[in-house]
Amino acid sequence: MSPTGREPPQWQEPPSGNDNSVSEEDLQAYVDGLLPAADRARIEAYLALRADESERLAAYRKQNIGLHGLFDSSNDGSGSTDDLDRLPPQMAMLAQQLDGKLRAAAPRRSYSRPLRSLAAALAVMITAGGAGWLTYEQFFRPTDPLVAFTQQAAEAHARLAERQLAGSENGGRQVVTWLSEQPEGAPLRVPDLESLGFQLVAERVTPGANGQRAAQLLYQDEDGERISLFMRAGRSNANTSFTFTREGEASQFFWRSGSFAYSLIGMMEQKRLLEIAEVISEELQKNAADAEAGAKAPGPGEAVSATIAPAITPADTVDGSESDSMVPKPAGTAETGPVIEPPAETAPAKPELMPLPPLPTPLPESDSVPKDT
Amino acid sequence: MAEAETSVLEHIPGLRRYARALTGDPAEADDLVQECLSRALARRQKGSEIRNLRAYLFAILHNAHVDRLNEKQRWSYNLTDEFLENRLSRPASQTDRLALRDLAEALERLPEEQRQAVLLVGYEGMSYKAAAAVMEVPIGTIMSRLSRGREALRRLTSGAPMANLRKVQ
Repeated sequence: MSPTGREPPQWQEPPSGNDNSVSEEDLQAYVDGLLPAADRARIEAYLALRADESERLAAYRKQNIGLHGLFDSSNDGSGSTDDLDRLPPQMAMLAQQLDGKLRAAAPRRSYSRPLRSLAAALAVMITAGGAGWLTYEQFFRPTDPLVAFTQQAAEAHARLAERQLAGSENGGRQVVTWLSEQPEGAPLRVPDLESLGFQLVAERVTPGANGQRAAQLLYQDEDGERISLFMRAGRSNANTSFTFTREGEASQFFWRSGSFAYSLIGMMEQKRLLEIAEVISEELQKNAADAEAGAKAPGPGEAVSATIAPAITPADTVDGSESDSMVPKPAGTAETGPVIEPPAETAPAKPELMPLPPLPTPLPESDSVPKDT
Repeated sequence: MAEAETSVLEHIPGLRRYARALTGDPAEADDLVQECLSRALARRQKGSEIRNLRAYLFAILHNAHVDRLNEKQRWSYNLTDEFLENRLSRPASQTDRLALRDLAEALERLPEEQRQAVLLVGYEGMSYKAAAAVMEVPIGTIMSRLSRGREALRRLTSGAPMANLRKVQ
């Protein structure tokens, strides 16, 4: 683009007065090699007559060279910035993950209404004017809690997808402790996916807006495949069937059970992820049953198949209601399952699971958790 | 779309260089680059939505930098002695060394926004349009900051009086 023909310069007068045919913008562009070839002769003719201006521009050019002398990596004794083989590990990992995210070519396919509206909103933002990505970032804020939750879950999972994590014997203590602090309807333990070959490798509880927090559990199987389970307190008494979404290569199931919302993400086929989701849901229900042990036993037939729809259903079934049957869970009564470590209070100081970085933005508050229902 | 073949990795050296120039501190700079990458990961853009990956990443880095400055409230740009030592031990001639040190000192005295414009255009070689996108200001503003910044550097390094420029800031 030609720097000429724009509004007149707004800054103070250039050190030497220019004639009308040469603007300060032209001169700067000349220094930077950004002047269209057609304008170059005009500037050079001007400079030939103006030794002072010529000298000034030469000084600017020299500055550019000096800046390279100051900041170019080749002059740096403290470590090259150009050596891609010796990047700080964390930086290399982030770059790789970002690359993967940006390269994910597959367009979003969504099966639920909120996600469709997200796509629509996105399309509007993208086409709305010159600086699409700036406008998008500045103005687009997802308001639908489901969209926000699933989106953030997908991003949080993606960021861990390639990270090296050591396994741990710790049964998700941090998350278990967090669960025990939840008002009601929370599972007592983290799901055991041993039967599927998945082991818990990382956990995180992340602060969210208005004190609402979410937990992430990262599981890994022997092949290194990873899935993330997110748990968050939500509106009570709203059980839903599984809702499927896909973003890039990541499949995701979202569902609600009792007062909790769950999201399971993995880079795998929908069918396989659904199987895992069913096992998890079953585990969680056993959990809930344990929570009520002694009190009123839930109908044994409240089996997974009853609450888990066999097929993919749109998200607008979210409000399918279900009777409560949730009693406040006494803290610290977490019974340890076969693979679960002692509850937090008594657990010895074991190596912690690798702490995960906080979510980029707090999970938005979707709905309050009623104290009593 | 045109960016589909370029990778994030190939922009890392540029980001690190620019961050070093921007902060004057290699450790802080790398920290800034990592924050930039984390922020980019947290965004929802797909690669196909980003027209200029370099400007996109630089803009995020720039925002992260500005956010940090705002948090600090008081901040001064210092090319640390250590940093200058490392840099200036290399060039052969004494005059080069002196000239570079002069330039570094002048750069330290520049208002932040002018320094940013000078670095983006003069050092990184960005177009005015790209620099405007990175700093999220109109092109005219970039041109103004660039012009003032360059002239301030020139006067500072040549011992010319600065009175005229102080007013401008």
